[in-house]
Amino acid sequence: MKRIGRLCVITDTMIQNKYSHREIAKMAIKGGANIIQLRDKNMPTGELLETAIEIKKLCSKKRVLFIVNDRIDVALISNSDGVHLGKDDIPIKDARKILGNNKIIGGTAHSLKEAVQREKEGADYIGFGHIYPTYSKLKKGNPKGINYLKRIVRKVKIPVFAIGGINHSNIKEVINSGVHGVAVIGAVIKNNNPVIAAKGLRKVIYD
Amino acid sequence: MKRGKINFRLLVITDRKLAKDSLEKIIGNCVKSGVKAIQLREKDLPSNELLRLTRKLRKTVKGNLIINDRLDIALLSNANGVHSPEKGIDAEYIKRYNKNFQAGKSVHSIKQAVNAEKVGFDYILFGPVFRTPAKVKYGSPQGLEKLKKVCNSVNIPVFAVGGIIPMRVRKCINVGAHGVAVIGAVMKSNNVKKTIGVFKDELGVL
Repeated sequence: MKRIGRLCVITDTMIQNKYSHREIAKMAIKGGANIIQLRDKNMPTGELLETAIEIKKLCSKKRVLFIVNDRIDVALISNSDGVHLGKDDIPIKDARKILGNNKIIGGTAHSLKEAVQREKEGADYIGFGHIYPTYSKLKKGNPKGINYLKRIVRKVKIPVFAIGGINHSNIKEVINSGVHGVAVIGAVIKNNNPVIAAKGLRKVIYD
Repeated sequence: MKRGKINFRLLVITDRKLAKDSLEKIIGNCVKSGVKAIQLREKDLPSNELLRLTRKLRKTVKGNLIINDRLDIALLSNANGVHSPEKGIDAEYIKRYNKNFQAGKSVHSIKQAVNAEKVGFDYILFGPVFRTPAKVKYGSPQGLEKLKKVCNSVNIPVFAVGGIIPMRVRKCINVGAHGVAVIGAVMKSNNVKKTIGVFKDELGVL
C-alpha cells in the first residue's frame, strides 16, 4: 500500500476568493497538511497546469503529497503524486492506463456500494462524504453521519478519508471512527488564520 | 509552407448545443461526405461523458479526430491530436506523450501566431475572420487583411475560423489560408452532406 498522509487540504476558490490555490497550498503546508489537492473545474487548462507545477514544487520541498482533481493530463504533466476522481470524472481503470501503478488514484464514494466499487476498480484511497452539513456540497443530499462512516471504514481495506463539514469541533469524533484521514476545505481556508487552523486539525489527527 | 502531416483543408468543429441532430449523426454524415478532420469541442461535458462520446465518435471518424483542450481524453480515445485554445497547454506537452499527435492552436493576433509556430504547433486557427454569433464576446471580426498578415507571418498552415460559410471560403484561401474551420455552418445545417459538398466545391479538396 502506498504511503498516504492523513490531513488533506483541498484548494478551492469557489467558496472563497481571498486566496489563490497557491496561497492556500502554502498556508496548508505550513500548518502541517500532508496532502494538497488542487481542485478547479473552471480555470483554463494552461493556467491550471501552471498552478499545478508551482504547487508541486511547494509540496516536493516539504514532502507533501500533491493530488490533482479530475484532470489526468494536468496530473501527468505536472508530475503530481496522483489524481482524485469524482463520479463524473474519468474512470479509475482508464486513469491507470495513463498514470501507471505508482501514482496515487483516489476515488469519491457516497455509499457503501460505491466505496466497495472504488476499491475493486483499484483506487488507492476513498474520499467518503459528506459527513456533516456543508456549504460547499449543499446540493448532494443528506449528510452521511459518523455511523455510516464507521461502516465504510470496516468494509474496505484501503484508506478512507472523511470529507464534508469537518472542522475543529467534530474532527475528534471523525478520527475516532477509525478513518485514515480527513479532507477539509472550509475549516482551513474560511478560518481567519488558515495556518493555525491546519495546525489544530493536524494535532487532533496525530495525537 | 510546411504542411507536415496536415492533410486536410476543412476542419469541422463540433458544438452539440448548436447541432440540429445528434453529434453522431452529423459527424457520420461528415465522414461519409469525405471530411478528413473533426475537432471535438464540448467544453461543458464532465470528463467521463466526454470520454464516452469521444470513444463513440472514434469508431466513426477514420480520419483526424482532434480533441479540444484535453490531452487526457485524446490519449484515452486513440485520437490524432489535441487543439490548444488560447489559454491551453503547449505543443511540447501535447507531443510528449504521443509524438504522432497533431497539435493545433487558436490565435487571435500575429504575435500569437508567430509564437505558436515557434513553440512547435503544427497548425493554427485564426479568427474570428468574419462576424459570427458564437464569438461576439471576442469583439469585432479580425477581417481578411489581418488574416493575410497572419498567413504571411508563419510557415505552418493557417485555418480561418469564425463566420465561415461556403461563399467566404475563396476569400480566405486567396489571402493565403491553408483551409477553413467551421462550426455553425455544419452543426446548424439541414443537410450536412450537401453543405460539405458545397465546401468541397469551394476548397477543391477536403
